[in-house]
Amino acid sequence: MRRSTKLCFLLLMLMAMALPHHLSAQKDLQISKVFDLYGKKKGVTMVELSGEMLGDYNLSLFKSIVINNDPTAGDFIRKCLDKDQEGAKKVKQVISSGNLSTIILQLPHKGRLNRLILYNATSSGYKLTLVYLESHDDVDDILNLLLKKK
Amino acid sequence: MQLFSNHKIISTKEADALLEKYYEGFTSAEEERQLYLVLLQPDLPERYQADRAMMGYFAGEKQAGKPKKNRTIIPMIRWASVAAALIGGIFLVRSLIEEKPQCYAYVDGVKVTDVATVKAEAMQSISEIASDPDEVAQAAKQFKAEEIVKDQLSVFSGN
Repeated sequence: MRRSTKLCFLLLMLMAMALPHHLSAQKDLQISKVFDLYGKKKGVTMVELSGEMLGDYNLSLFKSIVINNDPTAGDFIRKCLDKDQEGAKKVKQVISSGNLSTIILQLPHKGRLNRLILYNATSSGYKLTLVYLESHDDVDDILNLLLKKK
Repeated sequence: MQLFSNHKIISTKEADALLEKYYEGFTSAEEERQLYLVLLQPDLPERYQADRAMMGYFAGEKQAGKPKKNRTIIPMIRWASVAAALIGGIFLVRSLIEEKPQCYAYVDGVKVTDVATVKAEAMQSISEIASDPDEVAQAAKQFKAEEIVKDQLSVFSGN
C-alpha cells in the first residue's frame, strides 16, 4: 500500500472517530427505515426531540412514530425489530393472540450511549407506536423514569 | 621537513608521534584537531597520504553524523505539524457537524419546526394514545417536553 493511501486511510479513520456518536447511532438500526419510510406519510405522527429540548430528562435523543391504520407498516416494523434484536437484550416482550404486542429492547452500547427501542401495537393493530431513545443514564434508571405508572 | 598545524610549525617527528598516539587511541581532542590540520595542508608528503585519507574518512563520518541529526529533527517537526493539523481538523469537523438540538414533528407529511406547534402536535398524538380524556386535559396543563415523552411511553408501562 502506498504511503499516501495509508495517510488517506488514517485520515478517514480519524474523521470517522470525530463524528459525534449520536449522528450514526440510530442509522445502523433497521428501525431507522421505519422513521424514514413512514415518518412523512399521511396518518403518521413523528416526533424528534434532542439535546436541551428534553430538559432534565437525561435523554440525549427521543424519537417516536405513531402510525395509524397501516397493517403493512406493522409487518415492516416487526421485521425491522427482528433484525435489531440480534445482539440486543430483550427487557420485555408481550405477545397477544400470537402477535407481538409490546417489546422493549436494550441495544448494545454505542460509545457511552445506552440505546433502547420500545414498540407497542394495539390489540386491533390499528395504532402502532415505535420509540427509539438514547441516554447516558443506566437502562434501569431510564426505564424506571419513563415507564413508571402514573 | 616541517609541517604546519594551526599556525604552529611541527616537525615530521612530532607529526609521527602524534599519529602513533592517534592510532593507539591516546590523543586528546586538541591533539586530534592539530593532527587533522597537519594532514590537511596541501603540500603534504606522500607517506602521509594514507593517514590523511583515514583522518579524512573519520572527519567525513563525523560531518555526516551532523546532517543525520537534522534528518531526524525535520521529520519530527513535519509529523508534529501533520498531527497538529489533524487534531485541529478533527475538532473543526466535530464542531461543524455537531448535531444541534432537534425539535420537530411531521404530521401527515407536513414538517413543523415551530417549537410550540411541535409540542402541540406531540400533545395531539398523546391525546390519541390516551384513553382517558381527563388524562389528556391534565397533560395539556402541564405541557412540557418531558411530559410528552413520559406520556408517549406510558403505553409501555402496562396500564
